[in-house]
Amino acid sequence: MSSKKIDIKVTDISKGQGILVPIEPVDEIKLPPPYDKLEELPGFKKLTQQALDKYDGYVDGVIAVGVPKPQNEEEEQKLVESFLSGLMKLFSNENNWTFLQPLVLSMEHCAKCQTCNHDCPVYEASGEEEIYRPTYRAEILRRLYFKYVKPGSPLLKKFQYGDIELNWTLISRLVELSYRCTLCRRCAQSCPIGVDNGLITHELRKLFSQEMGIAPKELHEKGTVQQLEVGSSTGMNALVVKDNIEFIDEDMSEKVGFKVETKWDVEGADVLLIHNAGEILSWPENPGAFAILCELAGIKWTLSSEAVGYDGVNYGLFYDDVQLARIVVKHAEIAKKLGVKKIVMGECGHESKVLGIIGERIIGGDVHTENALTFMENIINSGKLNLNPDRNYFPVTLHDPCNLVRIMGVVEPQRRILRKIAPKFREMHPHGVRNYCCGGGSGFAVMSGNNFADWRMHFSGKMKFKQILDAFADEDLNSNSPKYVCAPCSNCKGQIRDILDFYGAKEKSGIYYGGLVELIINAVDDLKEPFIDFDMM
Amino acid sequence: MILIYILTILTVITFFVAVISKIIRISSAPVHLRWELYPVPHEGGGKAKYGGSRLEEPDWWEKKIHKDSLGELKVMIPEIVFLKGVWEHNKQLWIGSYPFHFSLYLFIVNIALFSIVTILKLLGNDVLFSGNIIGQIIYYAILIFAWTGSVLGIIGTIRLLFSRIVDPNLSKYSSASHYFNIIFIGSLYFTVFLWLISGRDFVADVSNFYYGFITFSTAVEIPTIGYWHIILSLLFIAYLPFTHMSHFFTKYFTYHKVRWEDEPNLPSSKLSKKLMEQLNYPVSWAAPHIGADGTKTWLAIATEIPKKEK
Amino acid sequence: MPLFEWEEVKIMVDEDGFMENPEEWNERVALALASTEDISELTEDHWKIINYLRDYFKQYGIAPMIRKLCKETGYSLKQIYELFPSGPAKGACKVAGLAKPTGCV
Repeated sequence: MSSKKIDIKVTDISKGQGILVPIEPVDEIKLPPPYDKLEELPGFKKLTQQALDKYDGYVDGVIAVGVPKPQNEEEEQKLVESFLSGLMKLFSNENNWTFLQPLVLSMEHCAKCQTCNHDCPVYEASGEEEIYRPTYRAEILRRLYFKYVKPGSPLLKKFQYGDIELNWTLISRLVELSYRCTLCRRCAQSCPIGVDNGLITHELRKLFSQEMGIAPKELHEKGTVQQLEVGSSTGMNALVVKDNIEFIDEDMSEKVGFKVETKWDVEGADVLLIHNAGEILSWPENPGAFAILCELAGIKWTLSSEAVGYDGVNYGLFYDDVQLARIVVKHAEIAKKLGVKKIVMGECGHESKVLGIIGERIIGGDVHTENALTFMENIINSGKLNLNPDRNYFPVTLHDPCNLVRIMGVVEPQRRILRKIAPKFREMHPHGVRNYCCGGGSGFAVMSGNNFADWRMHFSGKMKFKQILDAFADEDLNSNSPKYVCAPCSNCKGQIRDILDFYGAKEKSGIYYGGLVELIINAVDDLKEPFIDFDMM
Repeated sequence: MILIYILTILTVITFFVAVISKIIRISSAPVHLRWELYPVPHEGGGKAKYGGSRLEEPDWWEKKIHKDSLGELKVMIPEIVFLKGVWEHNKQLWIGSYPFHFSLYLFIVNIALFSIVTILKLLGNDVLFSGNIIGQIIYYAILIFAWTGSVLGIIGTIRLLFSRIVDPNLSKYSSASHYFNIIFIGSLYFTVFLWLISGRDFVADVSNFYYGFITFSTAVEIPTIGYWHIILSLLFIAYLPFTHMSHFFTKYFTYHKVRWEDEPNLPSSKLSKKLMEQLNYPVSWAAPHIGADGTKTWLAIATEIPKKEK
Repeated sequence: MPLFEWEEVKIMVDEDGFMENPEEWNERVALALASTEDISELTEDHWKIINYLRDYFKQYGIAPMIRKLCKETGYSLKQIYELFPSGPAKGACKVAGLAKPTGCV
């Protein structure tokens, strides 16, 4: 594979017209049988001529963002100027106080030692494709920073930091490249100096969105904008969400044999539960299981029917600080208005990270928040549930969502729960804070236009699939007796669902996936039938 | 000789002004949003070991926050002394990088030892050459550090230079200054090595230079190679803070102010006041959905209902 | 956005083949879209599902929960996959002229 590799240099980003490196799936990451034959796997869709004509930013023959082509040279020049003005703002106190200090530190101190490279699952899965190296896109921004932002003699700067030519080709390719990293920040853990190339990707995305108005429509137009306008990134307004929850309540009541009833907008409740609204539509048994859990534990809880209050997602985290702030402020306002003791975030990694850590310095520390895993462990420890682990007598492995684990340090509660309720629980390797991203991080799981879905499977998600298969290596991968991947995060679940579909792993190996709360309710001994129904999954 | 003394003074001034102004620049940056990365070693209660945080505790805000400073030292010391991070994640690089850095440490120790004996000599105690046992120990310690440092340093330099040239992973990302810096530091090791084998009393030469500098004496005599070494060292010290090699002190910030920085934003704390100020910074991002005009603040923009696009 | 043509039908679709302007949907469009989904003819079963989806979409502006679709039409998920091989969201909703689902779904 590597023999026919094109030798790409940092400066090549601004050169030529077509696709910089046409990528193809390789089998650098070896999967065990029956998944070991690359030629038997689904292929990699090539871009259509229509897409090629419509967009710019050919970097690898994949389109995630879809950068519109400028109509003429004048327009192109304007875009370059807009980029430059955004670059200046990215390094100003006023416009980027949110991340300026870590950004500048990461700009100025990289030793170019490449120690971080092999921590990146995308770089590994691609067979070390140059453009996916964690330092590649970072190096482009570094050179631009030294060239245009830092004062000093141009000659000396060239000597110290190298040079790069700024043009529209570079900018459009850099837009796409900033969406080939899942912001998992595994590379940042291994940097001896403390440089964070994941952060640099994040800042690039912000520059494109906040100054140039360029962002993937799934995250912006259909994501944060729709959430702020309609109430949810799924498009559900308050009426629909109430109708859906009522349906789930009925479904659950039927299932468990007692009445499950979700209460709305209860003032002074102990807990305001904010789910990722995608759960309600795609994995209704997850919010359903939460309702049962709260009911059984006797918790005074509520959902909010106010716009944004019933959808915990905040895609702003992935690409735009202003959108991030708008949504988190709304969440905090709703909690304050209801006067609840705390917000509990549903099983959603990025929601937990925003409300638990990132948003704290925007909304203030008087709104208390708790992640779902800690919340559930506390309930189990209270002894209010009558749990019988034998009801979960099937192999279970655990996926660590980056945002909950590496970024928030919530590592053990989910494991302590599983050790109690899942007798056949086994770890993936590596796990905990050194886990691998599912490959759908930073919004990728909801992005699938053009051939980006294929890219997620062949590149960003391959390492995770290998980890899943390895975790079940002692089971028969040619038998479809159920095996469960527990992924306590909606975004990761979406990605894992796509991976398992893509490789046909449910049919071939009986690999199913779901959240943690479903496993807890499945272990509740008082229920007449098992909560988890593999035939329905 | 006087010219070298003047150069020394200028170097010391340049070095400290550059370092201090960089420290001021970094630490006066606005408070950023939390961006820590686990494991955070000051997490108490055994959590640091597996990377846990206080967020694992129900209602953590009602509990006392344990900050285990010893835990930070447990990570920092092996990191500084052995370059543990490089060892764990990049052994090939460590083979060159460690001797290269360790030699610098030895030279820094020698600078400290020479400074101490010079001060003692000023106070009337020529400890190195008065024949007492402590003086003897210091004398030989300096000599051993100089020998070890120069030999290891030369080995490290050659290895690093070799890797940077031969390994495409490194050469692709190396600017001219990378090679220059390695050769520059290598020249410090090499000139010490030549000085040591020149047959002169190295320790006496250097301590005479230090004493001569403090007393501004022109009577000091050092060999030509000594001049070379001293001038190169001074130029290097003055150059250092202006390069990415300033990581020798900025690493404090990348670790303590970013990777491990997890201070909660408690109501009416100093942090919350500072953040309030920052939320009043004006925004001028130009994308239409931001709705900024250069005067509207972050707070105003985050709380207003954004107008429909299109 | 790409133009999709099938017999006399001309519609704009997005990158995944979903209609850009769902209000332009009619039964001929459904047949056109079905042709991209490996569905040779639209049977009564297909129409039952399509009509339910259209009605729900008209009322609420989004696609219904899959569980709800199954319960209210009486088809199991397996049957829906038999009718629309790429499933309820990617297959049935597309043929029924709904916009592509958004958010973490």
